[in-house]
Formats: sequence, structure tokens, C-alpha cells
Amino acid sequence: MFRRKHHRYLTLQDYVYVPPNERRAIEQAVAAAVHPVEPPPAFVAQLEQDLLEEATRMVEKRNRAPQRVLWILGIMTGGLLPLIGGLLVWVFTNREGRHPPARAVASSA
Amino acid sequence: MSYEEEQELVARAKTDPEAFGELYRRYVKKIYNYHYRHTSSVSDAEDLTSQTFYRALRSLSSYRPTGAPFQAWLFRIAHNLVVNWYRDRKNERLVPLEIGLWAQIAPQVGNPESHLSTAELHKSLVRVIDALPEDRKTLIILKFVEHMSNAEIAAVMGRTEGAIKALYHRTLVSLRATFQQGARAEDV
Repeated sequence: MFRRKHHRYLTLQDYVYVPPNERRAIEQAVAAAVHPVEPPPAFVAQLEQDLLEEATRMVEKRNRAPQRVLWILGIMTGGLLPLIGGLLVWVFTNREGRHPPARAVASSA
Repeated sequence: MSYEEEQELVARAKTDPEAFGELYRRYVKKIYNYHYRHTSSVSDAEDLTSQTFYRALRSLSSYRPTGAPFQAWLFRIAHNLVVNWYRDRKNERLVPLEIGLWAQIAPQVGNPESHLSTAELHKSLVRVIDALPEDRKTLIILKFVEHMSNAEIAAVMGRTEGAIKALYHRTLVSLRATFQQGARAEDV
């Protein structure tokens, strides 16, 4: 039968108990020591202006993206149309070439 | 501002620069504080704050609400930048713990009849917190300056809530050990 292997764990560090009063004293001292600091107002204003400019640029760029797609599509379509036209002309010319012209048929008759 | 209102503002900020400006004004002090507490340098804090908001602006389109407040996402960016900052300076920045200093501080903590002025005591404590490893310092700042919950801190630091509780306990134990060390040094 299977016998469960007895696992042994290695204790890396013993649990250290911190009494509540000591915990509170440390927490109060740390909380009082690390009060917030004010950033320089000039820096805050300058960064805000720079970020707003960047955000506006990004929005404009994003709005221009569909227009760019339309441009590319237009150029591609514009480039394809003459090719298709040329192909059609070639097909029709060849088809006419296979049959003798109507005037030649009438004169032979 | 409720969670829903903030999420609405974030959604607007994706296409409206003014809405992003509002988010910036809401969090710039917190982010600056976070960086300043880590770097103790105005220029580094300014640089990291700028980087945090530029990154946030570029990544905002990929932001998805996860149930955590927006500030957790923003602090996560700030935290990643701070980790890089520490990595770049790991050979430069070694602040030794001053046992003599602790001999002065230890008996004063929680003692109103302290001979040290409050300002001196706070200044000394800040220096000791500065000497803590990056993760413990991050925890102290997020808990005591930003008053974040363990769940929010876990989201920022990319750990579980249980891991944050354990880290906090270890931080308290190490601070207490330093206090005791200081007290013993004073006895000798």
C-alpha cells in the first residue's frame, strides 16, 4: 500500500512577536516622520503644460489615422484602376483580333 | 470621487487632454512624494515623476479597469521606475545605519519627555527609513504616506496580500531590532 511520505519543513526564520504597544509606538513614529512633501509649484505647472501638449498631439495623431488609411486606399485604388483598364483594353483587342474584321468579310462576299 | 466616477474620468482621458490634466492634478503630489521619499533628491523625484506621467499617458489606451483604483495602476508605473532607479544605483547608494544615532532615537520613540526635538527625531527616523531595502521602503511610503490598504499595496508591488502582510511584519521586526540595538548601545 501507499504510505504517505512524511514531509519535513525547514524553518527559515522564527516568527517574532511584536507586542501591540511597541507596534503602535513604531507605527506612530514612522507615520509622523514620513509626512508628505510638496513638489515645487513651477515644476508641477511646467509638467502639466508639457503633458497637455503631448496629449493634444497624440489625440490629433489618432484622429488623423483614419484619414491616412483613406489616403493609402485612394492611392492604391488609383494605381489599380489604370491597370484594370489596360487589362480590359488588351482583352477586348485580342478578342477582336481573333475574328476577321466585319469590313473584310463583306468585301470577300 | 467614487470608483465609477474616476473610471469615467479615465475613459474620457483616453481622448480628452483636459481629462488627463485632471488626473494629473489629482495624483501629481502623491507620485512626487513617492519618488522623493525613495530618492531623497528633488531633481531625481522630478525626473521620475515626469517619466511616470509620460508613461501613463502613452499606456492609457491599454488601461483596463480591474476593480482596483486608478492610483494603483499609476503607482505600479512609478514603482517599476523606482526599481530601475535602485538597480542603476545599487553600487552608489549605501547608507550605513548609525548606531549612535539610534542610541538617541530609541528611547525617544513614544516618549513625550524626549530631550530630542520632534523635528530632529523625525529627521533621524527618515534617515533610518532611507537605509531600508527598496521593497520595505515602498511599503512604508504606501502605507504611511498614501494610506493605502494591503490589497492596494499588493497591486502596486505585484505581490499577494499575504506577502505584503508578511513583509510589513518583517519590516516592523527589523525596525524594532534597530531600536533595541540603539537602546543597548546607550546602556553601554
